[in-house]
Amino acid sequence: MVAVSGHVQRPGVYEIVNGTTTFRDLIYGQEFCGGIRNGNQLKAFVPGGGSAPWFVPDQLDLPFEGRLVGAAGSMLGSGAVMVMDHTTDIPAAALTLTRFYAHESCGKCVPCREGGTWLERILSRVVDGKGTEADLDQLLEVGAMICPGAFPHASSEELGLEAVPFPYKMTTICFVGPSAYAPVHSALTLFRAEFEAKIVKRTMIPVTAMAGGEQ
Amino acid sequence: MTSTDPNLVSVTLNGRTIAATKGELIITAAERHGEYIPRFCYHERMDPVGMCRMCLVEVDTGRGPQLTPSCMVTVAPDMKIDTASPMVKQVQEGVLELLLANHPLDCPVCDKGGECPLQDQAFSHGPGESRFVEEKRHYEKPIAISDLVYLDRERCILCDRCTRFADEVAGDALIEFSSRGGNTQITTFPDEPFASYFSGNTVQICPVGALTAKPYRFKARPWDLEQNESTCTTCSVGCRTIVQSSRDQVLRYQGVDSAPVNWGWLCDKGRFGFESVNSDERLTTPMVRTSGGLVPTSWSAALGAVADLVRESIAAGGADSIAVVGGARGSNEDAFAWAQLAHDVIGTPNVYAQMGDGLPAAVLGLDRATIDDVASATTIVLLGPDLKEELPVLYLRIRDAAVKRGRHIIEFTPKPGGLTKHAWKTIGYEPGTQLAAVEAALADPAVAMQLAKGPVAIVAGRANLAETSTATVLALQAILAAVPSAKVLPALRRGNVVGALQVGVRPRPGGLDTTGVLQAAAAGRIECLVLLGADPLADFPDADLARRAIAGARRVIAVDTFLSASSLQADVVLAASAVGEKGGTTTNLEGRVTSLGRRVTATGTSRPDWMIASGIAGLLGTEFGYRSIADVTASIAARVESYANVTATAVASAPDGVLAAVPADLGPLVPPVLSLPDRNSYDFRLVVSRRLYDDAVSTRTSPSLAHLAGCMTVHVNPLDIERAGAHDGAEVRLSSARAGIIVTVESDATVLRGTVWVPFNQPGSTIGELIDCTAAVTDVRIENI
Ligand code: SF4
Ligand code: SF4
Ligand code: SF4
Ligand code: FES
Repeated sequence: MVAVSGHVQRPGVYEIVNGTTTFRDLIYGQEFCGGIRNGNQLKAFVPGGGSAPWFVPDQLDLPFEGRLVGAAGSMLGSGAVMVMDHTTDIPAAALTLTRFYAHESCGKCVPCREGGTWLERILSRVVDGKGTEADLDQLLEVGAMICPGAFPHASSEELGLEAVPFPYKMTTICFVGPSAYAPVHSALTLFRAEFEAKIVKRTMIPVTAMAGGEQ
Repeated sequence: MTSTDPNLVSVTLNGRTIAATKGELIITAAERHGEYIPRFCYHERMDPVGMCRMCLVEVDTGRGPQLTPSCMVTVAPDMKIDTASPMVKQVQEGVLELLLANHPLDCPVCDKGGECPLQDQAFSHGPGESRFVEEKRHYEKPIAISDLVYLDRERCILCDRCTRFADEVAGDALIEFSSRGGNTQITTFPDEPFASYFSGNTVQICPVGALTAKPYRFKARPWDLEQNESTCTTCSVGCRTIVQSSRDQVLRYQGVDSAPVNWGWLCDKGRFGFESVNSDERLTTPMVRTSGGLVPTSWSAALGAVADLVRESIAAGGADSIAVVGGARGSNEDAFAWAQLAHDVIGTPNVYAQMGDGLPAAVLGLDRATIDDVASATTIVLLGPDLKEELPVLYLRIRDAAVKRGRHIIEFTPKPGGLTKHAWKTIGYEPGTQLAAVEAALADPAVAMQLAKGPVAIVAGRANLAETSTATVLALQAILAAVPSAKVLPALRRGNVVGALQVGVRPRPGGLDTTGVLQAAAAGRIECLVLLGADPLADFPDADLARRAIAGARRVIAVDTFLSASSLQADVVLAASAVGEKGGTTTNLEGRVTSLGRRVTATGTSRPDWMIASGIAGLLGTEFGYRSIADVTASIAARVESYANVTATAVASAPDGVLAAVPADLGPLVPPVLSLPDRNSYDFRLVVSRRLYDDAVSTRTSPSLAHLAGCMTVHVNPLDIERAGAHDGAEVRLSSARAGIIVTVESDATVLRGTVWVPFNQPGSTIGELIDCTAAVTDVRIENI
C-alpha cells in the first residue's frame, strides 16, 4: 500500500505490486493517480516519505522496490509518495519538510536539536529572499554535521549528476535529524538554480501552489 | 593476542592491539589505554544515554567503519576502533559547533570559566570558529531551581547529567526536560523546587556553567583557587573532598571519587557546611569567666587557668571527679591527645566521645563491614536511623545497591525513611519491641531463606533518641546469633566518632559514659567537666539532665569553635580550629583512615585540639613532645594497636585511605536488660530522630543552609489524630512522665499507628524536655489545649 499526495489528479492510498509497479505507473497510471493535475509537468517527487531524498522525472521508470530505490539514491521509508508539479516553489517545499522535522526533533541529541533548527532558520531566510550565496553552502555544511560524508541523491541527466546510493552516515541517535537535512540536500542538489534565483535576484519566481500539496 | 583470560577482549585501538575488559564501554577502554575521547553526557557513575554525540568514534566490526557513540557500546572481540580518523575529527568539530551555536559564550561572567569542559573541548576538539549568524536562543538568566542552585538555560547543553543524577542516583526526580526540539529545557515541577539533599552534585557534574551553587556564585576563578584533598567530617561517612580556597578563605568543596566510599558524591550539608568555618561568630581567642562574664584572654592565661582548675578539681574530688565528653568532631590526633591528657596525665577514666545517641562502643569490636561489603551483600539488614537524614552518602550507596544491583534490604524501623521504598521487607516496630520484631522476622521462612542466600551485612545505629539503645542491642545480637557470619557497619553519625572511640576517647574500666558523667555532674560529683566540642544543652537527648549537669558541674571547661549554649556556661573557653584549618587524619564508620587537608590559616588565635591538650599536659607536668601533627599521627600508630598500620606515610600514599584493624580491646557486647513500662493504651510511644538540617551550630552558622532546617511539629498518623481528639495543624500539649510541651500536630501517614514522631533539634525545639535518657522508652499523651 502506498499513499500518494500532492499534485496528482487523484491523491490517495493505492495497492501496488512491490517490485513491479513503477513510479510512472503509480503517478500516471489510470488505475492509480491518473497523472499530474491540470495537465502540468512533473518536477520532482519524494518516493518514501518526507525524510527520503527526492527523485526527478529521470527516476520515473524505477519499480517500487527497496534495493533499487536505495541504489538510485533514496529510500521507500514510509511508502508515502509526494508529487510536486512544475509550479512548485522548491526552496519553500524543502522548508516545509525541514521545518516539520526540526519541530519533530525530540531534543535529545545535539546534531538534531541544534542542526535541525539551524537548517530551518537559514532556509527560511533564503525563502524570504534574505539569503546570501554563503547561506547555500552553509546549509550543506550544517547538514554535514548531521550526516557527514556523501549524502544520497538521485541522478539527473540534465545536470550531469550520478546517483549517490543509500545509506548515509549520521551523528544523531535516530533518523529525525537526517530527515531534516534530506529535503534540503535534495532540493539544493537538484534545483540549486531556484535557490540562487531567490538570492541573486531577490525576487520570487512565479508560484501558484503552496508547498506540501496544501491548497 | 596470546592471553587466555576470559575477561579480556582483544580489540584494535587506532591501529594497536589492546586488551580491554569484557563488558567495558569503548570510551573507558580507550581512556585506560591512553586515548581520551571527548564527552559531555557520559559520566562514569551513571548509566550512559548517548545524547551529546561528542564521543562518536569509528568502529569496524567487519561491516566497515560505522560512527558509534563510544559511551553506549561495549567492546567486542576483534573490533577495530578509530578515535582519530578524519571522519571522527569532522564529527567532533561538527558537534562542538552545534553545541556552541546557541550557547551564549558569556565565559567572562560564567562561574565555570576556566574549568569548563565546553571551553576545554571546544579548544581541543572544536572547529575554532562558528558560522552561526542567527540570533541565539534566549531565556531568563538565571532562575533559582532551589534554595541552593541556580539554572541558566542559555548555557545548558541538555546533557541529562543533572536530571539523571536526580532521578538515578539521588532518587529525587525533581528536575526534568520539558518541551522538545530546539525548545527543550530543564525545568522543575510547578511549585516544587529541586529540594534534594544532594543538589550540589548536579552543579559539580554539570559540564557547563548552567548550574551554579549559591554559596560559590561569583566568588572566585578556578585559577585563583588553591586546593587540598581532604575528607568531609560533617558525618561519619567520610566522603573524600577537595577543599578550595582563595585569599585564605575556604570557598568551595568538591567531591572526589573515592571508589570504596562516596563515588564523587557529597550531600549538600557536607558540601556547603564549610560556610560555618568562615562565620563571623567563630571564637577567635580563648575566654575566661570573670565577674563581668566571659572575656577574651591570652592563651597562656587561659591554659594556666585550665591547669589550675584541673589541679583544684583533683585536690577537691580526686582525678575521677574530672570528666571529658565529646571529641568526635575533631581529628584522630585531636582525640588521641585528649585521651592521653585525660587518661594518662589527669588520670580519670571518665572520657566518652558519644553524646547519648549512639550504641555501646563494643559494637565497634564486632566483625566490621565496609561500605562496599554492605553494598555487595546479598542481604542488607537496616537496624538504625534513616540513613538519608543521618548518613546521606551511605544512603546513596545502599540505594544504588538495592536499585541497580538487586540487593535485598530488610529494614527494621520505628518510622519509614528514605530507603523504605527500596526495601525488600520493611518491618515497622513500636519503640522497645525491636527484639520481638527481629525474632518474628527470623521465624518467617522467606526471611530465613533470604538470609541464607549469601553474605549479610547489618547497618546498626540508633533509630530513636527517645529510647535507650537496649532494645536495639538485643535485636542486633539476635540477628548475629541467627547469622553469625554477618558483618556490622556502625551507623554512628558524628564525623570522627569511630576514630575518637578507637583511639581512646572511651571510659577506662570503672569509668562513666556520657550519660553517667552527666548524671554524676547533676548529682554534684563532678568537679570539672570538659566539653570537647560538645554541646550537651543542644545535643544530648535528655534536655533536663543536660541542664542539671552543666549547672551541677563545679567547673566547666569548653574547647569549641563557637560559643554554644553549653560553652557559654563554661569557666574557660578554649578557641579551637575548625576543619580546613588543620590537618591530621580522620576515621570513618568503616574504620577507614584518611587525611584532612589544611587549607587556610586558623581563625584568630584558635588552635587545634591536640595542641591545646599538649599545652595543658605540659602545664600539668607531662610533656607529650609533639612538635607537629605528624608526631601525633606517629604516636597513634605506635600506641594504638588497631592503628599500627595507619602511619602518616601509609595514609598519604593511599588516596582511598587505610582501614584500621577492628579494635580487639573493646570488650564483649554485653546483652543489656530491657525493662519496658506498661503500655497505656491512651499513650503514644515517642520516636525522635534527626533530620539532615537542624539547629546544630555548624548548620546555623552556614548562611546557605541555616534556613533549610524545618520546625518542630509532632507527626501523627492520620488515623490516630482523631483518636487523640486533635486535627492537622492543631496546637496540642504533648506530655511525658517528665514534662509537657506545646507543639503543632502534623498529619503524617508514614508514622506508625500508636507512635508519634518528632524531629530532634529543629530551631526552637523543646522535645528534649520529654526525654528521660534512662527510660527504656518514652510514652507521651496528646491533649487539646
Ligand atoms: S559554560 Fe560558561 S565558561 Fe563554559 S563555555 Fe559556556 S559561558 Fe563559557
Ligand atoms: S543543566 Fe548542566 S547538567 Fe543539566 S542538562 Fe544542562 S548542561 Fe547538563
Ligand atoms: S555524607 Fe557525611 S561525609 Fe559525606 S558529604 Fe555528607 S556530611 Fe560529609
Ligand atoms: S558522551 Fe557519548 S553521547 Fe555524550
